[in-house]
Amino acid sequence: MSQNIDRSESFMSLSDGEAMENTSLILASAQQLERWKYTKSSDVLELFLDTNVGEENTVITNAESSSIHVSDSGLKIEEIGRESPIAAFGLRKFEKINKIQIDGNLEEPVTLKQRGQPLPLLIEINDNASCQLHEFVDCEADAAVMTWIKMGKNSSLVHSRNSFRETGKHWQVTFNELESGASYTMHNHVKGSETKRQDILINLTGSESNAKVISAGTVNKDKKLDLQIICDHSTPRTTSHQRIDHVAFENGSTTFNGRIHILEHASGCNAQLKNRSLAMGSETTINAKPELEIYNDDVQCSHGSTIGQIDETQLFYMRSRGIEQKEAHAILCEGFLRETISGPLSASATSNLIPER
Amino acid sequence: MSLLSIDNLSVNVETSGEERTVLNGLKLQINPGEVHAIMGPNGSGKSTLAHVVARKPGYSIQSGVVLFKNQLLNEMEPEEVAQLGLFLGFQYPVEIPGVSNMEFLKASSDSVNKARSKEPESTTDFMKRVRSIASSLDLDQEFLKRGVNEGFSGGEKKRNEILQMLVLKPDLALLDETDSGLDIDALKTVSNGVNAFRDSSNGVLLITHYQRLLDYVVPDFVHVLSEGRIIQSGDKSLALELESKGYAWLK
Repeated sequence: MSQNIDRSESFMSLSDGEAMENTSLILASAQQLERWKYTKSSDVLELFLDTNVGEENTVITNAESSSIHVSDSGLKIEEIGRESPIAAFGLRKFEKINKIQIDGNLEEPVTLKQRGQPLPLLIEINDNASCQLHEFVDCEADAAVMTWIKMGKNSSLVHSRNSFRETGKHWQVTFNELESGASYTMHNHVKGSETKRQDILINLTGSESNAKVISAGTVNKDKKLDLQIICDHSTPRTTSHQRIDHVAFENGSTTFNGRIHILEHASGCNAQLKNRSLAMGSETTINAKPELEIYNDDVQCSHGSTIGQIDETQLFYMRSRGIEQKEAHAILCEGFLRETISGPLSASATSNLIPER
Repeated sequence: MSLLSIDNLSVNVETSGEERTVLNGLKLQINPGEVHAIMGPNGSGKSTLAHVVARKPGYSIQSGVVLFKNQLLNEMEPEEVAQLGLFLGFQYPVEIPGVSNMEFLKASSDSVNKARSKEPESTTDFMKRVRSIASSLDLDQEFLKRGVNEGFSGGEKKRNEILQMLVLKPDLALLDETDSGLDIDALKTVSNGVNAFRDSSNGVLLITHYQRLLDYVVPDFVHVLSEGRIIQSGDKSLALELESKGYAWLK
């Protein structure tokens, strides 16, 4: 799948259209079969081109801690290269990307507020460091939000992200690279918008690293959510766990495409993926595509996806206890989502994602 | 005034595109303070009767009337029947992951109170009351925090049904094979719960295959249902007779 694409300084001299095509091609090679996706990257890449950026749009708390270093990344486009084509694209557009470096064990969470059109952000977590990241994506208008997370050996990150804005088009891309023994957990809570595509790209580059993504999403009337997760097991004895639940209300559209990719030499890996989607109204659209691509026999993998409506037996059981049908629907929807609303931001996720009774 | 009065009830159900009659001219009356038991062979319509009275969707009433506390149930929604004071104990209680037992009970209790224009019970008082009832049924308090019936054993599910009945305090409880799948100790516990519930103002309809439940919950009337209608009624001795002779002699 590799393609010989020029990502050197000449990238900076390309026209917008050429640069976009170039980046799409890099994505296509990195993500394989990008053309199958329901929301094309070529559509959302335009979000990088059409907006003005301001540094103040990213607000980081706890920045005074001695273990947190906030700066311009200082990286050049050729250093970013293939690792993060979106960062390369962002750098081309904005001429710099922000960087947060963590070099200790933080007890207090780092809070990150992404507003307006934020700069791409590189988060480096040094060897043996650990922290919690609370990310609030709250961009009113069209926006692309890129977060590139590099985790050192035996580092740990619990990343909670709430993204509830329902106006505008949003593309949220998270690249994660984990060195050996690193541990990444993501609690993702999201509501669909005019178009909201989330890409979570995880590369387990170091042995015995592990990643866990638990995601709960809802899509209201005429909104759209497209969640794409790719988990590359590049080294032996790595583990990943994906648990994704979506609820689509009337005329809402939701897509989940989760891919587990285990490379030839990555023996002893364990990868699990479970996805459920619930249709709560008429004219909903639900797309689900769990994928396994395995090139090693010594692995444990599973993937499964279900799509359904409210269970009539459960509904009758609740109504037979005097609960009104509308409320029973809301309680059953709440019960469905509670299995994946998790982590430190779950209280606000519950109030934002679950319909009022 | 009778609690439940069913007259000439005929009901059809559609399965695989074909309509068939499942209740055929059934008559039954239950007065306050009475415990009735309905027995009968498999497929005779026992569970169907409970479902029709509780207004489970999918059944089509062809003729007859079902009156509960003098109100016509024929066109009511399931929640309206429950709010009026009718409880159906399920033969196969449903699992609802993600919704805790306590939360489910509170939502039920609040809905019933709201329909009766009553103030909701305070959460503290409610939880205290539920915990006390759970203890009387040998249900661990942890069960109240778990998803409704999620991972419960068969016996625990049935005890949970009785817990719900005691919390909601209905006027009439229809218990559909509440004794099936219970060991002897669980059967005693469930029976004690039913006996604690019964008083001069409410009624119970037990649907069962076995006489043994009636050793613990002594019925005032026993009915035999066959082919969608009651073909014999009597007192507790009828159940003993059925135990020894089976159903064939009644046909």
